[in-house]
Amino acid sequence: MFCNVKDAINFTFKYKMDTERNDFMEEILTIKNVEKYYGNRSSLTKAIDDISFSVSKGEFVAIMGASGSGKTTLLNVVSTIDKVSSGHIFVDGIDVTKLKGNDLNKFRREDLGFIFQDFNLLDTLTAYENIALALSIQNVKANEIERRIKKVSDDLGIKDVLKKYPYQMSGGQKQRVASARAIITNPKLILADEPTGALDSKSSKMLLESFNYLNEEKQATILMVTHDAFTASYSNRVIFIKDGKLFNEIRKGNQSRKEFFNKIIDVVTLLGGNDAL
Amino acid sequence: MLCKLSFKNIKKSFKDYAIYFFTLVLGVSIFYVFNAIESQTAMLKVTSSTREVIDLMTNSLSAVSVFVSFILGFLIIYASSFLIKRRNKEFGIYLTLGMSKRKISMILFLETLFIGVISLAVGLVLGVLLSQLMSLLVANSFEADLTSFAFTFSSSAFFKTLIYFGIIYLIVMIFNTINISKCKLIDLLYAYKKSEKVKLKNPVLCIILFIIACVALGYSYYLVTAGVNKLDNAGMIFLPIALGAISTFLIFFSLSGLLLKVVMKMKNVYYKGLNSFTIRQISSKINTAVFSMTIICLMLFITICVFSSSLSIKNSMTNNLKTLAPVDIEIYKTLDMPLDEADNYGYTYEQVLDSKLSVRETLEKLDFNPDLYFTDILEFNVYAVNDITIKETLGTAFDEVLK
Repeated sequence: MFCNVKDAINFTFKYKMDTERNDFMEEILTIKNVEKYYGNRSSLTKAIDDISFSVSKGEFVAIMGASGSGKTTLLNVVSTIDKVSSGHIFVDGIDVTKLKGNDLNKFRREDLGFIFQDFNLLDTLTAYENIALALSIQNVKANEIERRIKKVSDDLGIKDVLKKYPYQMSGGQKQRVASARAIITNPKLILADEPTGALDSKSSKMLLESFNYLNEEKQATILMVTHDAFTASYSNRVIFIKDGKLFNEIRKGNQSRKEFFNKIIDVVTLLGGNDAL
Repeated sequence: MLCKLSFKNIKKSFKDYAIYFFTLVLGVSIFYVFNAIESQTAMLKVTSSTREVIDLMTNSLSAVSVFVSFILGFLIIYASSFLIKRRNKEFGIYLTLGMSKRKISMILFLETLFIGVISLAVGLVLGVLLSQLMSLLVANSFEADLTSFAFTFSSSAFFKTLIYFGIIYLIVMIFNTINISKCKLIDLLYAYKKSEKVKLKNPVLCIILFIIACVALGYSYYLVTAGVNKLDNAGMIFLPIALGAISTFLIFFSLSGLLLKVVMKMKNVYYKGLNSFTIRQISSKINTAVFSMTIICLMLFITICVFSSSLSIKNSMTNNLKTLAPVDIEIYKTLDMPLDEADNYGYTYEQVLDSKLSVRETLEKLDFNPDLYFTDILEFNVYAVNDITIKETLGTAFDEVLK
């Protein structure tokens, strides 16, 4: 805990230094001066107010912030679900804010994997078909689809539910199926919006361990939005957002997950108490 | 894959589709039934005057069927866009997985095609069966004899239905494509999170509008019922029609605001039990469905009017026939032609002689005994003069009037 403001600033400064040390790594996502406004001239809301940061390949980044801080909006503009008001977002050198039509579809299809809070699985399809859809949209051959689904379902422990429909699965199973769908196309970037938001603590833990597995073993780059310090503690780096601006960021480094969790809690307290999240 | 996906969608969301499907089947079958009347009535043995009426009817029916197809087209487009709205999220997921909008339109196209083909098939089979019942009804209302009943199939109505519904489905597909190409991904994914915009209308305005609408509606009803004498020319009929339609819309428009205002004033009613919830629900439902409720109301009004008036016209015509022609056979001839006037009218001497005989005598002269064939015979004479004045009508009473 910090005794005074000076300590807090020093703390922030120390972790800023950590960021700069890793500049040599290959950047997969670069966000440059992104702004997003809502409303009209009379009542302008800045959901994102000039945010810049970058994510390197193989990183697992969590974005934390209170509700209304703009973290989901940030994820939405990165994922091309929403459009930026100004600024640029580069994914592997391509400016996604400029993408249109088929290029945009191709980008979503091949370079992005989505994981949503409410799973967004298709109720009319089985788990297998849901995962297969991501590949069949890319015109992958049926036997290749089967091979890849078998592998990913082994990795994520969802072999038993492949034949089930979403309404026959538990929340944790659904989210792991959704993760399998997101990862199976080998995207450059996986975007997760409150992935544990609808899960109980046990399912959350299993899912986050799956994320760690994907991140460490498969070198998947994951950008995750969450308001939960426990969920964030599984990442390598946590970016804090307050009122649409970058507030702070801390890295895990060589700390244990427990130590990292405590650090996160510290910043959360600095940010305005856990109640604010 | 697309084909499989759309087929699975229909199979799985059959509950959602059931109503839509049912509407289509009903529309197709009714459309067929009305257009098949022509070929069915062609088989009926009816008099030439009835034949004329039937021809008139089939002509007007084919004109009405164009109108009906417009209504059906509107209904089908509305229903399908409603179904699409329910599936916003699904399309959002497709888009996030990188499916192109063209492919999504393709899925919708295939679904419309599946549903369209099946509904056309089922509807036509149902229509052919129903049209047999319809032919009974038509024969009955034209009092044609039904000895020659036969199973009929109208190929012209069949192809007409195919073409009309083909066009409707095509328009639906175009609308779907436009709908899909217009929507944004963020709206699709988070549409369910958006709450319905509550537009609060000015309650004072609502009350004023409601009163005006009630008065206008009352006046238009007065015009077509008690005050019907005021409608002295044909153009005037449009006044109550327009007034009625507009005031119906205004009543629904102002009803929710009024209802809310009035009930909220009565605090012990509004906060009693679930009343506040119920009232809010009802008023928001009325608010969102103002237009469709107006249309439904007016349609119902037209239906009730047309149905009841057509039945009563038919009844009065049959009654008229009975009073105007109360007997089976009526024979009349001119009697007592004066000889000197025969030349003026171009009659021969024989014809003048013949006119001295009564109807009965003429028949007997032709070797026909009326008592043998007719049960009830009534003979009466009708007298005629060239110039009728009030003196003739008064008869003997004329002298008394003179005094």
